[in-house]
Amino acid sequence: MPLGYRIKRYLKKPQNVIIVIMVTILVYLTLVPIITILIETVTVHPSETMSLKKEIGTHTSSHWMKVLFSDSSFAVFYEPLLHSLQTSLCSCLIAIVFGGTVAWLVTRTNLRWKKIVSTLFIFPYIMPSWTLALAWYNMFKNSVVGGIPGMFTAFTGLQTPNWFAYGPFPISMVLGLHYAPFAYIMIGGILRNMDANLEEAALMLNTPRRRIIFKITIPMVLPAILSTILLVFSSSMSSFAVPTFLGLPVRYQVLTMQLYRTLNGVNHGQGYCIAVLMILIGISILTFNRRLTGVRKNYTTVTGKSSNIAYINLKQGKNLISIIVVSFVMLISIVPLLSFAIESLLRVPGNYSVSNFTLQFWIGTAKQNSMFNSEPGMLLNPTVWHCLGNSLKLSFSVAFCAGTLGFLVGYAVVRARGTKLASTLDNLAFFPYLMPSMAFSAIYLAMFSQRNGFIPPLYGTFFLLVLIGTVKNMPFASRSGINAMMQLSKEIEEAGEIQGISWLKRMTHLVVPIQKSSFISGYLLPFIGSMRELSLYVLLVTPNTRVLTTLLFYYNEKGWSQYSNGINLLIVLIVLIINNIVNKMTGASIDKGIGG
Amino acid sequence: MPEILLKNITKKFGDFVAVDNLSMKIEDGDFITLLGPSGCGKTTTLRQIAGLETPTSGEIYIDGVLVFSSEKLIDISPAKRGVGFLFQNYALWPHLTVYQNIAFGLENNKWSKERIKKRVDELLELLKISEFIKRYPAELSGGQQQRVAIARTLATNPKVLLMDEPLSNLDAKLRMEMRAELKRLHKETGATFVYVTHDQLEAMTLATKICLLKDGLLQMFNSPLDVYLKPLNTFVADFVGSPAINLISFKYNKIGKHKIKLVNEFFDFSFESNNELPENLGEEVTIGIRPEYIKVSETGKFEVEVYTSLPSGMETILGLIMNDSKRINCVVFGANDFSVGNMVKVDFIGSEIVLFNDQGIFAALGKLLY
Repeated sequence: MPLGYRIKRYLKKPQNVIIVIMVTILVYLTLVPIITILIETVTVHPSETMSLKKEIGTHTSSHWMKVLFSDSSFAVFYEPLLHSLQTSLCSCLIAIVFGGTVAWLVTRTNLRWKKIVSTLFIFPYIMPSWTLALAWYNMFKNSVVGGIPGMFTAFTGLQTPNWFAYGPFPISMVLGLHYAPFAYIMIGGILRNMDANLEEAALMLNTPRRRIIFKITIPMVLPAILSTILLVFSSSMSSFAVPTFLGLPVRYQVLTMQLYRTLNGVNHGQGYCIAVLMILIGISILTFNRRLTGVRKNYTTVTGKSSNIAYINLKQGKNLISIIVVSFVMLISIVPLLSFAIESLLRVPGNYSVSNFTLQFWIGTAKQNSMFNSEPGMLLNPTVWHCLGNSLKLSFSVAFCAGTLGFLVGYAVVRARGTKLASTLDNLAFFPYLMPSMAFSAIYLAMFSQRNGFIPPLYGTFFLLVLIGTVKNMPFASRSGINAMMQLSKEIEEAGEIQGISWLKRMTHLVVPIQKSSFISGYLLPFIGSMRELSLYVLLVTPNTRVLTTLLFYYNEKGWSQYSNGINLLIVLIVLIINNIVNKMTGASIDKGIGG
Repeated sequence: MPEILLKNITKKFGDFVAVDNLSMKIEDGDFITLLGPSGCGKTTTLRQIAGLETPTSGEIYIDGVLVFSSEKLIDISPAKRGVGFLFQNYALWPHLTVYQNIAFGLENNKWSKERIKKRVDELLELLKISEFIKRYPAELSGGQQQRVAIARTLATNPKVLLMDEPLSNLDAKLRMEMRAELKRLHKETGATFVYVTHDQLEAMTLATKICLLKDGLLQMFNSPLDVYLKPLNTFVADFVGSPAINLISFKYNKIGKHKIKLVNEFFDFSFESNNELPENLGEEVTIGIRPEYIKVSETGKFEVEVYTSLPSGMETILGLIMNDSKRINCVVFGANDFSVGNMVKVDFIGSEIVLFNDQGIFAALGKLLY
């Protein structure tokens, strides 16, 4: 067959057109940055001409040598790497134990208040991870490293020890709790879909409950547990704000903090080397994960005919366990919000007496707040409103772009399943997940600060933020697109195709309406992701394009804790409200997006 | 005339050959069943006719129009081939009501509102589902959903109706009912039906012609009774008919143009052909005896043991065992039961015993003499 005809025939199928376009775009937006980073690691940068005695732009291996094989390697790379691995492993463990236990209790026992538990337990995942870090900091900071002690010390008079307030322990706890809902959704999803007959069969053979759990239930969910571990692990590795809040006071460095230090300082080359190494770790984790999920699919055969398994009776422990679970869930969902609210109301931080409470940071005028650089209260502050507007505009744009592209990717990948290009697209769309946000934005800064082919310089534009937000959110958007399409048999669409219904109409009248809630979930995830995103935007915003999270970062750096706490509260509330509205109106939810 | 012509159709998925050089002519108004074990390429063939799957090579004509040709680079889209397609899982649109499901394709063809309504009412009448007009698919039983799916497929008046195991999700009673319904529809619409099934009984009862496939290769394409009585090879003989035909191998001696002597460890008799026998039959031959040609009687020549007995009222299917090893099936008409382990006497009757050569290819029809 002539090539021209073959191309024409290939492009006759809409999914192939989508694949070709999306692969082209994503290669440019994800692979080109990677190659740029690789080149940067062996290039002499302007600040180094003196020390290296080489021209700008010539090649050098000094960055790699410095990072991997020099006297400073330990401090620059190996120690932060160890710290990163340490906290990531611990947070995996915490996420699995908490998330898995709650998932099991909710799906398999007669626990009380399941609805409250499952609603509140998702909170920490919707909240920015550093919100919890800030809450921890509010609660437990001590005066040992200087500064004002936190609520816990103020109320009990006990000085929290350093290991509890700062460093690896709180970092792992906070990251673990932040990702526990993720584990809850993944493991709970498997438990819920698991054919109850499998457990009932064991029950009929007179197997004791404990033996059923260890010999049947846990082995069945093991693959889900493993994939959760790997996803939580790589997310924790690339987390920046949490270790900064909780590690910096005691100089506990992890890789992302090194990345920020080097990329923001004069050692760009070393920063890119670290970024490349982090991406390599991510890729190996992903490859491992893909193998496992391949196995997992064989496990979860949903028959649909299975009845609901009889709940395990917690007997006399029922009330106690229920109370413990609910209080624990409140502790990680409601209490942080309260702590932000309280901190934002304190005239003098650290003093929790009623007389010290004030609304001046919310509704005070510039004059009343003259001691704070004449910054008006948040609700009267044009900067806050401007940033809020930007945040919403940005997040809606990102949600629209990432959600739509994610749906198209999902459609194309599922329809063209089994072809090489389809799996290439699948991998490309997932790739940004492995890219540390900081390195990603650093390279976008470099790529788009000057004219690039037909693309005008984009630095300082709102469009650049939308672009990077969209690409960074593609992994989850495309995942949920794929999930949604997998549930839809292709005959549903073929039945329309054979009646001569155009592709566009098949999409708008058949595919999208049927899977409405799953698709909207694909928009919800990027929206939430973008609202809480800090490290991706922090390098790219200009005064005009500032968003709430970067404003919060700015206030935090200035030490205005009332403002940073207040804005934090604002962000969390907006996200929760929008999530709830969307949930109520469309039935979409983040667990649908993740694939629970 | 809506006849369908397949010329040398081959479909490969990677190295796997799903359909291997298939040629066949489906006449106008035929009711064809594509029959075969799972994975034999029947659904692929059907989807290729519809245009949902692209053949690797070959040509397809529908109604005299070349709709696909790998050489002339023609590939007309499914919508323009004038075919209807009925899916195994019905593929009803769950978010549309019965009326909307049927009307959707018509709206798309820019029909007027009144015309659509008239047509939908007509179809609801034809398929006896008028009372469900406002329901959603999830509110219907399997049989009702199937009727809606048929109505939707018929809505645009396709001259060719392609069906992919449409009855396999229904229970036995409904399946019987829908079979009769489909035969009626075939007559009333005058369209050409192509029907995929792995159920040989369905194929036998519905079709005007059966196309039997195995591993992507056409085994036989003929009327049901021809397929049943004169199977072209042992695979066809074995696949069609329930209980299955009894295939028994023999050493043989030719004793004339019409007669051979057959010997094996249990039997010693001769086969008399209705026509002149072919010259060469090879080393061994196989005879195929349909269960209904084994007669249980007091005076029977061969004594056998009852191994299983499955009475269904109208008939009883017997599994018989010879000399503790060879199993044969037979059917006894009428309401009888037999005790397992008892001995009975049988005869081989009828003049439609099939003889296959040592390649398993049809050689002759005839009777057994002893």
